[in-house]
Amino acid sequence: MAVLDPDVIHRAKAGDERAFATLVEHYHARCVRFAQQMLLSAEDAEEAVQDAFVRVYDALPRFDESLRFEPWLFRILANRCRTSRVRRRRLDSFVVFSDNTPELAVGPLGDDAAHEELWGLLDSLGAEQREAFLLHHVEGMSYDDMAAISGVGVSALKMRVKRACDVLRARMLEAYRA
Amino acid sequence: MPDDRDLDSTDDVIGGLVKRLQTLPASDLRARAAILARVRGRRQSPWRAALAEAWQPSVPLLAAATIAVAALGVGYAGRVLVEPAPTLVDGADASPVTTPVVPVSNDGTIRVSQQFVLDARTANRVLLVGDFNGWDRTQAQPLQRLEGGVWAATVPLRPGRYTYAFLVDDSLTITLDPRASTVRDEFGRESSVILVTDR
Repeated sequence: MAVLDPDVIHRAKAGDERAFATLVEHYHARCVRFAQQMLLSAEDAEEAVQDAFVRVYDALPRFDESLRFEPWLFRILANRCRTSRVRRRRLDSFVVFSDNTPELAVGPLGDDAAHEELWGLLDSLGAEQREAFLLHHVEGMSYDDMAAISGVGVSALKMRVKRACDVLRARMLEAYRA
Repeated sequence: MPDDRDLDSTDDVIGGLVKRLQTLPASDLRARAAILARVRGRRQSPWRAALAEAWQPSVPLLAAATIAVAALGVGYAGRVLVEPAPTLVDGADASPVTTPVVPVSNDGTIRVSQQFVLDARTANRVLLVGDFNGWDRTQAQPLQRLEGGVWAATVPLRPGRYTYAFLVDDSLTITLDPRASTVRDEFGRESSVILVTDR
């Protein structure tokens, strides 16, 4: 993936909306991928990503440019995903009282069979394991960056990733034998 | 305790899965445009800063907000039980939830006429603030008083998710929409939320 020119972040921080648009264009697809795989819902993921970028925009004036931008962005996004999961649990407990409520309901996993299979595998992981696995293996983050994102120690994160791999391996073997 | 290298090791099974998971979703121009629409003008709003101050979770403010929202909820429940729903706009259904509406096109951009409703019989003035106007009081949409003390406004919005609230009688304290879901931002401030779709 192409590296984002640090000047873009500098200009976005100074309030340049074009630079912010460049930043969104650069990271949007990765953020959507991470949010979809965390939330297993395209609708919730879009909302979480939108919220995350708005918060990034609001917080950019306070961003320390001596730090790396990407872990900072993913920390905000991971927080939005956690909030979305909590909200989803609350919404799922609501009584449906109007025709509009389904707009806020969890959508199906999608028609794409490959998506369903992958998301089904990810669904077998707990949220913490899933986050650690995705950040490390799919997003290619170092454990130090992950520690900055999650606030969890490196050893604990390594253990989460290992256990996630164990669970996924077992699920895939099980599916293969079946 | 296993060695770190053991913890981080992968095999073909996991490697193959990771490769599939790394496929990026297609670029979504509409979703990116929705983000840029939400941030446009957000940094130029002194009113937003004032709202942030008003939103500090002081106990009296939270208590007042809770009482106000509870009173609105009770009042609304009472209205629903004892009175027929008022007519909001010609031909529109007086649904208990802020209702969408009519997809229209405007310069090639999809806009949805979104109606916002608040039951505030004793109010003299109600304004609508939210993501769509940068939480800027000077850009706030005034609601129109309808039959029976219900206030309503229709705002053309791009599809997306918006947080919003009402300002009743020039109060610095926001009033949440008792008929919508509530979200809390990372600073603990609450606002009402709506998902606008063009479907």
